[in-house]
Order: sequence, then C-alpha cells, then structure tokens
Amino acid sequence: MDQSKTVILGLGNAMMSDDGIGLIIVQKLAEQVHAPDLEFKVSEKVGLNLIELLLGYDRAIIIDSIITGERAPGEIIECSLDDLPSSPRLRCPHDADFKSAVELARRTGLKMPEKILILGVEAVDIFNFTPDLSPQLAERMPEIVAEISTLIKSKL
Amino acid sequence: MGKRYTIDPITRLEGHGRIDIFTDDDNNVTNAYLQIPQLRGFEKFCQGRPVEEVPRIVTRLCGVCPEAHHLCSAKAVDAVYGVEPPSAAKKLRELMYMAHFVHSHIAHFYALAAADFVMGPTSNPAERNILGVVGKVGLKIGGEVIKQRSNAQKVQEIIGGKATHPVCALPGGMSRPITEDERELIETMGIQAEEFAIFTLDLFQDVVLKNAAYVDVIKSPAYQLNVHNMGLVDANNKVNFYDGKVRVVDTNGKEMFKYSPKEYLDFVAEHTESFSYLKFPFLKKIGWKGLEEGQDSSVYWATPLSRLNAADGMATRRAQGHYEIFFKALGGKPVKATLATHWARLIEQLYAAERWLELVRDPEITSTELRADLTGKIPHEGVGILEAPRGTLTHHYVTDENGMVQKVNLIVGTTNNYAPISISIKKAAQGLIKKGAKVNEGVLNMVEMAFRAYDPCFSCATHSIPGRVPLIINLRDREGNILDTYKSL
Repeated sequence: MDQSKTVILGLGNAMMSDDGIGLIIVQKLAEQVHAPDLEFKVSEKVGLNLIELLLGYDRAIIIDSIITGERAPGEIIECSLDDLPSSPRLRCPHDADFKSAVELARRTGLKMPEKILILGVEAVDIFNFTPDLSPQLAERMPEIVAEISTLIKSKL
Repeated sequence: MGKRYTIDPITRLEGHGRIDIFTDDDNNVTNAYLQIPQLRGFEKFCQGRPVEEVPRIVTRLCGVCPEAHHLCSAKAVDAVYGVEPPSAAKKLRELMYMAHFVHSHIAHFYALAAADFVMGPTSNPAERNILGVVGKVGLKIGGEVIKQRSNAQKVQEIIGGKATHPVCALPGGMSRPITEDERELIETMGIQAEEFAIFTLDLFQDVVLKNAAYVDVIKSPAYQLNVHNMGLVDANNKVNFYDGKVRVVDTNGKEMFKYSPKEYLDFVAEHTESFSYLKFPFLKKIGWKGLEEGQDSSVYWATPLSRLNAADGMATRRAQGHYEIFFKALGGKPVKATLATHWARLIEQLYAAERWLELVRDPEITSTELRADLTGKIPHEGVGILEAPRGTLTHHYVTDENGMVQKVNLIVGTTNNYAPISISIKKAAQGLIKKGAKVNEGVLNMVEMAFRAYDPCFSCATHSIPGRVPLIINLRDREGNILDTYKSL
C-alpha cells in the first residue's frame, strides 16, 4: 500500500430512490474500510462543483448509480474517466460534464487525482421521489457493499 | 415515406431529454416534440410533513438550482404562516440568491452556450465544449471561471449553511446572521464577480456581436419566437429576481397584467397533451389555443430574455446601460430572437453582481434581527414566487391547522417554457431540415441551439451516470421502424 492520498466519493441524490445508492455505499464503507490517507466524501453536487471535492488528492474512486438497462440490478460497472462518453452525467444538465471539469481543472494548474476510477451501480429506479431504494437494490445491498469494499481494498 | 429524427439524449443538457422530429416524404418537418421524463411522487413525499421542513426537502428537486427552490419554498412558508420576514432577513436571502444567479449564469454561458459561438455551431463536436472554449479564449479565463464559480458557491455556503443544499431560511426569516468578517469576504468576492460579469459581456461583444455571421444566425427567422413575456418586477417595473409582482407583457410590448403570488391561479393554468406527461402552462385569461405563436396565443416564455422584455429596465447602473444597448442593437422591445437570451443572461449576471454589492454594503446586512414572530399564527395556505435563473418559479402549499402539508403545487422555471421550447424546436427544425439537405450532427446541433438558449433543466434531481452515448439520432418511418442510426460522441 502506498501513501498517496485517496478520496472515495459517493455521488447521488438521497431522495431519489436508487440515485442515492452512491451516498449510502460510501457511508457504509467509511465504517468498514480504514487506511491511512484515505478519506470518504459524499456529495449531491454536479458539474464544475465536483472539482473542489477532488482537489489535492492523488487518487479518487467515485461511486454513483448508473442505468445501462443491460445489466442486472446492483451489478457493478468499473470504468475510467476515458471510458465515459464525452458528454455524460457525471454531467450536469447545465454545466460541464465530469470529464471536462477534471480536464479543465488540470489545464488551469489545479491538482486533480492522477487516477480516477468510477464504479457505477446498475440502478432500477431513479425517478421516484422516495428515500427508499428499489426492492431489488435494497435486497442486494449487503453484497453490493461487500463487493465494492473488496474491490476498493484491492486498489489501495 | 416520412421519417422521424430522434435526438436522444440532448447533448450537453439533461441526460434524459429527447427530441423527436417528424418529416414528410419530402423531408419537410411536419412536427417536433420535446419529451422529458417525469419525476414522480414529490407531492406525496411532502404530504403529512411539517411545512417548515419543505424548504430543506425541495433543494433535492434539483442539483442545479437548489437555492431557487429553497428560497421560493421559504417565501411560500412565510405566506402559509402569514408573516413577513424582517428587512434584514429578506436582504440576506437576496444576497445569497444573487451569488446563486452569478454561479448559475457563469456555468450556462461558459459550459454550454459559449461553445456554439466561440467554436462555431457546426464545428467538431469533440471540441465544441468548455475545453474548446478556454483553449481558444485562454486558459486564464478557464481558471477565472472556476474561481468565480467557487467564490459564488462560497457565498452561498456562508449564508446558506451548506454549499449545495442551503438550510438557512426558516419561516419568517433566516437562521443566523453573517459576521463582519464574512461580510468583508463576500464584498471582496462581489467586486470580483462584477468585474468578471463585465469581462464576459465584453467577450460576448467581441466573439458574437462583432461576427456578422453569428448576428445573422441570431436574427434568422428559424430562431425567432413571438410569444408573451413573463418576469418578476419591483415597484418600479425593474427586473427583480427575489421579490415583487409577476408582470406579463404581450407580443407588442404592452403590459397585459401584473399579479402577486397568491393570485397566480387566476392568471396561469396548465394544459395537457397526449404525447407528454409534462403540462403546458398558459395564460388563463386568453385560454389554451394550442402550440402557436402570436398575440392571440396564450403561450408565454419566462427566461432571461422575457424578463428583460417584461420589465422597464434594470435596477442597477451598469446593467441598465447594457439593457439599453441590448434593445437598441436588436431593434427595440420586445426582442423575439431566442438566441439573444444568451446576451440577456449576461446582462442579468451583471445585475446580480451589482445587486450583490449593494446588499453586502447595506448597513443592515449584518443585523441579528432575522426572524418574524410566529406566535399565535395559524398556518393554512401560501404561495411563493421568485425568478429562478431559467424562469419564474412558483411554490404553493396548503397545510392543516398544525402546519402539516396537505397539498403541494409547483410550476418550475423550465415548465413555463415547455410550450415555447416546443415551438422553437419545431421552427428551428423547419428552417434547417429541408428536402435534399444532409441531416448531420451540425444541423442537429443547430436545432439543439434553439433549445439550449432556454437553459432548460428537467429531471435534474438525478445524478446517475447514463449508460448511453450522448447523441443518438434514429431515422424512423411512421411505423417506428429504424431506417438508419447516427451516433455522435
């Protein structure tokens, strides 16, 4: 394990069902995973606002919901910044997309993580206004957290 | 055989919007629809909760304009209790809100609008983004965009208690004052915000207005819309974002009416269409006449442009100067060029920065007199209205005598603009997609420009990564069979 500074960042909306799963997972991980120079953050921000959350870290692991429509609920999809389409969410409806925000920060001399790993959790419902996860994700929650925890430990 | 072009999702905007363009056998556009997803269950979520909790819940409706929802909700809750916040509390709320406007308008211009003009509407889509813009206008500007947005966010955090989802507004006032040290910091940031707003207006002048080709695009018939204009105004009929009456000015520039928040149901009603679950607000006194333009139509828009059209001027000196230049350059009021909304937005950005400085220099701004007395007040029903960056925002709550929410009705900024956006898309598509013309990404981006001018924000409460490419265009026959597919990354 090296001593680089890492942030585990959970994104989502706590009141939009499965959209909040990134927040829930990171809150649970913070209780289970302990390592030097490892910080946990959750945020409901988007776009250029994410720059400040990543500022100064060497590595970042971002956990968010994702809907591909092709994966099983709760399946974890691992991708890098370059794997994201050019204008996706991790994009904001009226802001820069995530990749562009990070690149803009880098070009203007701000220290952004050299390594950014994105873990998307296949969601079922992100359109209902409820603090509850969909039954499919709620049922699988313990194994999703365990799987991500193992994955993260292997990356540290 | 007729075709259907589907733009899904709309690039650089909400990942879940979709535009359907239908053409006849000769590739003439017969219709165009904007379809968006519905967020379900908000009213049910609020029912039975104490109304004072709602301002903190509504911030979750939108990751883009939580401050607008928070303050509009707070105003509605004030009305539910029948109280007026003390003057200092109103000023503190408005100060936070000016920072939000600066934050929001910078993002729209630099991250979304500028690329179409700095890089060109049909330029390489891989470069038609904020990185392309700063690559062309200078990295220093990119750094300044980040800094100014960060400053504005900091001001919202100082006053709001949290950076993204403020918790500061309480029934009848605000939760805490700002200190003199905080005031000084906010003033310093306000001075920078004003300078940056002036710089951005100069940039717009150089890049857009001095380019005859772009001015032609702005003035071209495909990007004109002749509808009524809505905007909040103060007692002098000047633009105001936080308080006042809603003024509606017709297609000829004549005032139709003004209403206070509690009267909104007498003036605005909502129409439903079979192709969409989103309602189309319209002017009730005229009645729904369809998705049509013109003086007889009940369609209105509520945008930075309509706000300037609906007002008699700006309440701050520099913004007023630009307001006069704007209308002189575009042939007088009301301006009907949809793409001029970008220019109007920058004038608003300057107004917000100037108003920010006025408020932070007000001797009352550090006052601790921030709460109205709610003793003996029986909650019942209230409406709050303010201007969100993308349009007039209305919150309406009904509670029982214990303040528990029974009903919620919201008309959000973009909902006001659903009808004009739909008409604008159709007109742009009709102007740009013709028989024999190749429909490529550049053409479709120019259709999107008609849409993007509104800074629309739909199911923005969600944050999910889309597992889809940003632009898919399906050519379909009338039966929905895919004839061809374009993908644009």
